[in-house]
Amino acid sequence: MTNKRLVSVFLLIGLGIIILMMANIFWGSVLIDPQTVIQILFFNDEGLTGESLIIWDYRIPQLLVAVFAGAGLAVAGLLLQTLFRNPLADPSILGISSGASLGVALLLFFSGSFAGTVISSLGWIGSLGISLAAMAGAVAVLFVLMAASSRVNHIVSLLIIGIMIAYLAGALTGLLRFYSRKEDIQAFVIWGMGTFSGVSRMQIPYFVSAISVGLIFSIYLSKSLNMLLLGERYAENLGLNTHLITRLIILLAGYLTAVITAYAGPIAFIGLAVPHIARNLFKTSNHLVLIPASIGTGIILALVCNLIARLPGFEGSLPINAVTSLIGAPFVIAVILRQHKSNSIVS
Amino acid sequence: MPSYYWNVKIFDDMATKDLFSKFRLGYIFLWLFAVSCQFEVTDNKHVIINTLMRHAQMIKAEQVEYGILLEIRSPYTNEVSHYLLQDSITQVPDDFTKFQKIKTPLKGLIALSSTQWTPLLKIGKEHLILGISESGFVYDSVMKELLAKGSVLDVMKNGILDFEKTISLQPELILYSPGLEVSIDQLKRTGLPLFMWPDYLENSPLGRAEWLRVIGWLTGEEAVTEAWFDHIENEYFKLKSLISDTMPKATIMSDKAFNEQWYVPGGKSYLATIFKDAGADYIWKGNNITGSVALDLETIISQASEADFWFVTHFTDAPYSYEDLKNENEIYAGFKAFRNRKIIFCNTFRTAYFETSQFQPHVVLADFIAILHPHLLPEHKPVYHQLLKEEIHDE
Repeated sequence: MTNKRLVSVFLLIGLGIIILMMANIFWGSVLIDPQTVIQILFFNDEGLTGESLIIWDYRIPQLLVAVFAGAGLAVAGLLLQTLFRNPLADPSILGISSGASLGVALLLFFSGSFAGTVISSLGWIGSLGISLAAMAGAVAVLFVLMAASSRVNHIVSLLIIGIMIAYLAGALTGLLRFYSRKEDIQAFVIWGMGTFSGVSRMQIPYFVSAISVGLIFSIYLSKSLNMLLLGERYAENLGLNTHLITRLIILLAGYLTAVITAYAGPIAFIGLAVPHIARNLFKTSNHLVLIPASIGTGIILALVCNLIARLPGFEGSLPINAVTSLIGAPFVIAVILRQHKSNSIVS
Repeated sequence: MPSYYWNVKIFDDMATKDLFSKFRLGYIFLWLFAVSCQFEVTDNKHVIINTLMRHAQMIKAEQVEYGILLEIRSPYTNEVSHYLLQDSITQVPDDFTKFQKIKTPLKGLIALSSTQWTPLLKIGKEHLILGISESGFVYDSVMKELLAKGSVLDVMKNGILDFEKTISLQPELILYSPGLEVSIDQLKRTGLPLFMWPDYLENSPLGRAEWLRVIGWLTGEEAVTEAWFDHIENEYFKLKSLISDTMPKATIMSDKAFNEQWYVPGGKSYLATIFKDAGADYIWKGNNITGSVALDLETIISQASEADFWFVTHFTDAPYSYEDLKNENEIYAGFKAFRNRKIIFCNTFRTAYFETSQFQPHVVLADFIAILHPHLLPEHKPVYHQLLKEEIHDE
C-alpha cells in the first residue's frame, strides 16, 4: 500500500470516528433536539438539568467507554493472534474473560451471605464491587498464565493451558450458578451481556488512562511483533528475546482485557474480528500500521454497535454482546470471501 | 436537661428501645407524662409519638413531630436506609442528616414493582405513576391502558435500566426492590432519590399487605390506605379464627422440580404462614427458614410423597391439567395428592396473582380454607387457588 493511500484510509477512519461520535452524542432513547445538545456541549446548560445529566453523565461516558473498549479489545486480539499465529485467537482464548466471569460469579453468589456485607461496609468500593471482582478474577488467571509461560517452551502449550483455564473457570462459574439465588443469576446474566454504559463519569478518567497506557505500550511492541510473525526461531536469530516478548504480550493483552471486562463486562467478538478487518483493509502485516489500524477499526465497530443497541424499540436494553457478533460476524465473512475472490493472501 | 427527658423512647438508642419494648404500656403512660410536661428535644434525640407498623418486619416507622421516620433494611446487603417523610418543610435538627427527606404528598414517582403501583391504581392515584418496569408482564388492564397511552413509561427491561428515559421523567422518588444489585447500581447513577421497598421479603401475609400503608403516607392518602389495611386485617383475623387448634389438619407439600432442584418454602415463610392459618399441616413447618430451601427429588419423595394436599403454581397461558403435570415428570403421578386429585393450583399467568394477591391475603386465605375445610366456607368462590381439574384447566 502506498503511503498516499495509507494516509487517505487513515483519514477516512478518522472522519468516520468523528461522525460516529457525534451520532452517539446526538442520538439516544430520549429525543433531545440538536440545538439543545449543542448548547449543553458548548455553552451553558442552565435550566437543562435533565438533558445535561443525560449528555454529560450518560452519553459521553458511554461514548468514551465504547471508544476505549473497542480500541483496547482490538489491540489485545491483534497481539494474541500474532503471538499464537492463530487467526482464531482473541482475548477470551487465554481464559482471562472466564476468570473475570468467575470473579463476578463469586462476588454475586456469595454477596447475600458474606461478601455483600463486607462490600457494602466498604462504602465507595461497594459500587465498584463487580468491577473489582472481575478485575481480581482476570488478574488471577493472568498470574497463572505468566507462571505457566516461564515453564513451557512452546507457545502452543501455553495456548492449550489458557483454553484449559477457561474451561475450569467456566465450570466453576456453572457450579456457582447452580446453587445461587434467582436474582443473582439474573445479575450475572445482565453483566454477561456486556455494556458500554456501566462506567460513571467519576470513573471515566481512570478507565481512559488505564487503556491509553496499554495502547501506547502496544505500539512500542510493534517491531518485535513483526519479527514474531517470521516464527519464534527466526525471531530469536534476529536477536529477539522471544521468551520476554511472549510474556510482555500476554501481560499487555491480559491487562487490556482485564480492565475492559471489569468495566464493560465480557465483550465478545471485537477482539477476534477487528484484526481481520484491519489486515484486509490495509493489506499489510506491519504492526506499525496494523496497531493504529486495529485501534481505529475497533473504535468504529464499537461505536456502530453502541448506536444500534440504542435504536428505537430496543431502548438501550439490547445487549452489546449480541450486537457486536451480529454486526461483526457477517462483516468478517464478507471480508474473507472477498479476499479469496481477489486471490490475495493475507501475509 | 430535664429529668423526664429519659422517660421517652429514643429512636437511636437500641438498648433503650429494647428495654421499653418490653414495657410497652408503661412507656405510653410515660409518653403522655412527657407530652404534658412540654419537654424540649435536644439535638440528637427524637421523640417518638407513635410506632406505626403492626406486622411488617422489614420496615420500622415512627411518627415524630417532624414527620414520619422510616428505617428500611435490605437483608441482602444489610444496608439500612433512613427516610423522613414531611408534608411541610420544617426546620429539622442537624442530626437528621442521615435521613433522606421526602416531601409528601409526592407528585410523580417511578414504581419498579407491581406491588407498588397496584395500590396506587386502587386508590385512584394512577396519575402519580410516571414509570414502571418489565411492562411485558403486566396483567392489570388499567396499567396496560396507561402504558399504551404513553402516560406511563417502561423504564426497565430484563433488569436493565433505561437511564435516559428515567432521567427525562424527573420523578420525585423511585421505589425499587432490593436484591438485584446490578440494577440498583444503575439506579444510583441517575442521582435521583431512591426508596427501598423490600415488601416481598416479608414472611407474614399481613406484613406484606401492610406496605400499602407506606403508599398512603407517600401520597397523602393515609385515610384511605389505613381504612383499607384495617379491613384486610379484620377479614384475615376473622377467617383465621375459624380454624381451631383441635381441628384435624391435612398435611400439605409445595412446589415442583425446577432445573433438577425442588425449591420449597421455608417453615417460617409467607406460604408456610398461609398454610398454618388455613388449618393445614405443612410438611416442612419445622425449619426456621423464611425464604425457600432447595431439596433434591429423593428427599422430596421420602418426606412428602404421601402428603394429603400439594400446592402447585404454574405460569402458562395454556390450559393445565394432571396430564401436563405428569408429562413434566412421571414421578409426580405416584404422589398421594396426585392420585387423589388433591392438587391446589394457581395459574400465575391467568390471575393477577403477582399484582393483587399481596393486598388480598384474606382472599388467599379463604381460597385455602375453602379447599382444606370446605364445610367452613361453603359459599366461597375461588379467586387465585382451586383444586386442579381433572381434564382441562381452562378458566
